[in-house]
Amino acid sequence: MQEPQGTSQLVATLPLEKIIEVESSLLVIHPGTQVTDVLRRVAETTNSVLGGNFCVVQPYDQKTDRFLVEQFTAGGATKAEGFKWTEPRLYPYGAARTALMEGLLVVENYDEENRPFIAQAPGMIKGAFRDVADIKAALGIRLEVGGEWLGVLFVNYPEPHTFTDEEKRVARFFAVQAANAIHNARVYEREQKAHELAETLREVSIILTVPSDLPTVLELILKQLGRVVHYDGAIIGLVEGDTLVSRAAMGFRDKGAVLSFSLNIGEDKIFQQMLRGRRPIVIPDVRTDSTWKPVPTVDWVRSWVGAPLQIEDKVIGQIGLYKKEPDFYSEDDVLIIQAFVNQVAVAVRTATLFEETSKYADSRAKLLEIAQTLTSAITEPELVLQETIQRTVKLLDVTRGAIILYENGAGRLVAAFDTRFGTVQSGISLRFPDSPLQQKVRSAGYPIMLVDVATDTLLSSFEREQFTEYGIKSSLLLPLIARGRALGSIGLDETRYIREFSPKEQELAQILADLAAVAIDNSRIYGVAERELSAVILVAQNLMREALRPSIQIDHFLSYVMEQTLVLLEFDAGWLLLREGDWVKIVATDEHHRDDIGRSFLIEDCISGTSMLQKKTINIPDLANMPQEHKRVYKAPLTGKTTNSELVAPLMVGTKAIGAFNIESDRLAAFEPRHAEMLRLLSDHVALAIELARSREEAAAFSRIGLDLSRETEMDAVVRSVLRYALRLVHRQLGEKEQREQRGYGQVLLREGEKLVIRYTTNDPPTDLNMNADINKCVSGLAVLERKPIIVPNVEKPDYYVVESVETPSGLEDEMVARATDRPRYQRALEANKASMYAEFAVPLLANDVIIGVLNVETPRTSGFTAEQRESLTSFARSNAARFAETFLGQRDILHELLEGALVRTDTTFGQIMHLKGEELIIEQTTGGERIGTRLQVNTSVTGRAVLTGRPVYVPKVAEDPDYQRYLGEEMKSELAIPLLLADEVIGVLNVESPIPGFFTLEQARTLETFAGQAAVAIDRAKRFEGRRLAEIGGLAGDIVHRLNNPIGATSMRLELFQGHDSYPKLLLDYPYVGNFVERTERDIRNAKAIIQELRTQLKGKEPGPTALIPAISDALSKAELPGHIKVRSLLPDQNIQVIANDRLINVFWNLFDNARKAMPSGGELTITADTASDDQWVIVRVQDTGMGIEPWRRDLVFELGETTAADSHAPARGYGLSWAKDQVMSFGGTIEVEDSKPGVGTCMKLKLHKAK
Amino acid sequence: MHKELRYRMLVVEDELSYQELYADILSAHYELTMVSSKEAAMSSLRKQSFDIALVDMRLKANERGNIDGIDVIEFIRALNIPTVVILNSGFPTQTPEITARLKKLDVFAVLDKSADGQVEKLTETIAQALAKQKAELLPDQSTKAML
Repeated sequence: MQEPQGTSQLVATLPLEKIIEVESSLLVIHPGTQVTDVLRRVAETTNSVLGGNFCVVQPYDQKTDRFLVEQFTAGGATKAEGFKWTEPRLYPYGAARTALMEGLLVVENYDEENRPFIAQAPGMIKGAFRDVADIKAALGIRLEVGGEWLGVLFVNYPEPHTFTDEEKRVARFFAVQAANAIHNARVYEREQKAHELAETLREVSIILTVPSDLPTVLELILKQLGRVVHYDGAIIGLVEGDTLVSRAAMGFRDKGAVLSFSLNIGEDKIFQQMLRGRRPIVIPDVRTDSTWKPVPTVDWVRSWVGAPLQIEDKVIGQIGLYKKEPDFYSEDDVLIIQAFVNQVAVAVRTATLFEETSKYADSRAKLLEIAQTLTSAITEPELVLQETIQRTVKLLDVTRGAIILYENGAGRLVAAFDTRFGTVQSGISLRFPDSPLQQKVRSAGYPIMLVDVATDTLLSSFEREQFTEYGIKSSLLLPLIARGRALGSIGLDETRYIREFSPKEQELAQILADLAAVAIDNSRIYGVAERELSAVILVAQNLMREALRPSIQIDHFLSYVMEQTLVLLEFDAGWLLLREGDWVKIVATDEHHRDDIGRSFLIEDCISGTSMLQKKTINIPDLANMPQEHKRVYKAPLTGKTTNSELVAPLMVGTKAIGAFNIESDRLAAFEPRHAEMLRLLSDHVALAIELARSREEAAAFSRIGLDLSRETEMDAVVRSVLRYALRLVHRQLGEKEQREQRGYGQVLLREGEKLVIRYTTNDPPTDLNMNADINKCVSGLAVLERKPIIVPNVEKPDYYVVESVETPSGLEDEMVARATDRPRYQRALEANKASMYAEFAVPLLANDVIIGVLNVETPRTSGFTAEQRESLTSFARSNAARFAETFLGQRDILHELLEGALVRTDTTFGQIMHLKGEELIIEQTTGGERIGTRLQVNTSVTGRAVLTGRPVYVPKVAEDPDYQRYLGEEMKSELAIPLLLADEVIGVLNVESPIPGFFTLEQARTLETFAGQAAVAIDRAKRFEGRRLAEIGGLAGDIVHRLNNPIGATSMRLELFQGHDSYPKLLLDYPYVGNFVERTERDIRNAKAIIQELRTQLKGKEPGPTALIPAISDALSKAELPGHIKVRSLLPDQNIQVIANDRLINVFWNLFDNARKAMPSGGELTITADTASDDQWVIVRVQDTGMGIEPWRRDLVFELGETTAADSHAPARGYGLSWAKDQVMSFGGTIEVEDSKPGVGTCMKLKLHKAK
Repeated sequence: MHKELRYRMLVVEDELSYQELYADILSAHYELTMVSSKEAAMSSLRKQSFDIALVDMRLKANERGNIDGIDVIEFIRALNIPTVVILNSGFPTQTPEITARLKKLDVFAVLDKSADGQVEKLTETIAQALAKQKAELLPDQSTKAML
């Protein structure tokens, strides 16, 4: 008989307790164990168990083919402490390398002259054991797990030693355990790192969105980055024109020199490469890199990693990290940096915005002072001119400036200020012929910038000559416009360098110019008594001070405007209206007309609008006898007595009417021309102050919103906040408190492949939530396709506008470019509810013989409502009249109960309770999708007929009734859709709607576009968290299924055992009940098992089996819908190839094709081949593109979670992409890898699938 | 009476319900050693030899993805003893890693604990496994099923 082998010898060689101790201690890795701890433990246990002089564990990294810096040793007399290299080593020869390559190295009697393991290295200096000369024998074993090499383990002896097979076997077994332990600890450490990174990113995003100035934010970024990636020095450079300018630096001795460093983008090859690839670049050793451009005064740099800072599809700068050691940055670092830069870009943007806002804050005092000076100087035209030019030049920090007024067809230079001379020239009157440039400035109505006088095409050669003669390099020309009339212009010249004025600088300059224009114009007016004039000045100064307050709430500001106006003028009723698209809306009133706030009128359909369109004051002395053109559009206030006279003045900013002032008096002819003049004077200041207040509030709001959003990580919370802020931005409710009722409608849609899924909606009930919309069929899809904001002014028409940046003489300007789809794309989610309604029955609700509302029911039954049902409802309405009346008086809690009562009596599920108010019915309760509070006209609905006739109205066939409205709700008339762009990918759409046609303006689109960047980052962050949570939930579900399996399986077996027992037949005979009992228990167990099985299938997908390869590829190809400029070469054999997979194989290929499509944005070739011949076991499929390629270091990472973006309908569409594909292929027993890829050349993905027998 | 020489069986199972069940089914025919953890299994394997081992894949009910059972089998194979192994599993086999590891371990059968008719299946499999082992180890003796 054969003896069991091994045990006895082993026991003889090694103490049993030790072996057990080792096995269990090495195999159990507790969460939190550090890799270094494990390595140390491996060394120690090896030493204590296997003995020898001392043991060494030398970790190794297979990806880089380097032995790592730290060695772990234990025991022995020589080197108790592990020694540390300064950098990872290739260590190409010697014992460790030999053991690694061979798997096992045995040295039994070490001889300096005879070193078998370094035979291939003849030139090598003294032996590998030179440091530890007392070693005579050694056993070296490779540590590996699943083909991955983790390091080598050495056991060394001071005397020659012959290793028995048993010893070698034990050592090998030991190495397996050690390798597993190291592997597990590494995996755990990596996961831990990923978790920490996610947390750090969240913290960082909070810190970065705290409003601060740009240099502070950039330094913060570098400090935060230092928490997760090591560097000795770091620089953030931002693109300014053609140069990359260092804007922040850390870790350099001569920071000044570093910060004055800039690179010409055209000459810097590294940045060029970054611009093309849009990915981080690593330079392992700058000394061997010919493209490297050293930083001045810095000579210690050896390795570098840099990443582009991107906003939408524009690279705005670069973040670079410098290290003293070569070859320092790993893929892990690059990943972290990459995750970082999205956040950074947004922070930079917020900071830029804030910097410009702070510029206002800095210039706030100056602006206020200027405003005060200019308004007080109103009686001295000369002083106004002097102050204007001097202060504008100083505020904008230009070399010189001049004011040119336009008079009698010619220009007249009236004031000039040159910083080089320091004196203001005024009283001059240099006349010259009007030039085309001057005309252009006056007619433009906005600042015109000449960035480079030498090349600017706007200048005629004569003008260029003149500019050059004065040494002017750049210039900013501002029109002076008052009362809609161009008075002339201000020219600001820069002689020191070529200068591009930022949009905010231009805006600031234009505000000054507008102030000046008003002052210049006012200084010329007459007819206003001096006392009244000074009152206007005082009010204007108050307004300006209020508008420039550090924190501002637009609503409070507007009320303040109203109060101040009352100080100035005597009137009984007053309204302040602001323009919103084609509408004007009442935003502030005197205290008796607060009900009017929020009312909107079409601009053509009210007197205020008329005054805005005509840009002039309208004075109506007798409202009872006003001219026909005014009478037609006059709107009475909602409450209060009628007035007798009215005065309206437009609010003008430059040539643009932003709103109107409207005051009325009880007296006839209350307003005289001087009042009109005063109101106009005031309006100019009010308009300016409002614009200033708005722009300041907006900038502050963005910072606040960014901060709020960065605190959220839950997807639902993020999308809710995104929409809430979007609506507030659109409706300019920035300063309002949360509790105020939310107005505005919209959705947040997230992209899942070719679909958009509604993730948040304002619809109530949210029937459209999770609804899919095809990108090619809905309005929001347009935003995805165009990658720009889309405005649909009228949803019933196919016309839409794309908000595009267009090159204009004054720089980049947003413009609405008209386009059209073949048919209107608007889809009302709720229509389906009512499409099938057949009959309607409406009963008036009476209280004391007065109609107070209508109870309305509908049914899809073709038989409609029977006479009994109608009678029942009518009497229900009558007997509950008092209760209905209560509901309209505020007892809203019984509304639901009443509607339920009505529905039961008529056997239907659709009905509404409506409240009559004036000529409108207001929906108070409904089962449909209409919004509560929706108003509808009495004279245009079936329901309204019940009010008009006072009797129940029954329409048995609604299709034949012209008054029937399928949808009673507030119809959406216009729509604004903004793409959510993350780097250059559209991840979703922000969609807002309005019941007002033509509601959305260019300005709203621009505001939301700015906001969309923040929203996209927040959503992406939430997605990362969600992905992690989903994976956790999936794992948890699998775990529960597994654990549930045990007790159920055991019960089943016990039952089987019971049935198999000898006594069972007799038991059955004696107690028939037992048979019944067992049968039912069996049935229940079967059911439970079926449920578990179902869950398991759900979690795992179908069991892989023979699957046809070619149809899967063609299905995936058609699903991928590759664009025409990608040529597909399908080199597949014409045969039925069966592989082991399941129906998810289609999605695997689709994922690969979709990635190829993304890699070839401007076209290319996709080649698909299948090789069945070269291997008996495998079918090898290759998917090759000619796209941008993958850097070598990224090849393994492309399969990691969060690396890809494509989603599909099977996999949870949360950014799994290639990671998902790899999981699937592995579950088929196959493999997937990047076989070959070169940046700029293309990528070949290789898929190995089992042949089905 | 001649005392029947009974096979020695190591049962590695952490669930009490199954431990009881196996005791009921198997103790009449085999000399059972019942352990509930990897460490205990290793210790037992050191102290005595077993003809057959019935090993549960997951030995820590509250540790997700635990596959301690595989470690035990690896240990058995590393000891180079001719114990025939039957693996018990809630999941019919799983991840590529497990598949790859199992491939090298010469497991006689993998049983699904939750499938129907497991009592019969288990007893039959054990008989077959022992018959095979006997045939390999003792080619001169005739095989004899216990049940």
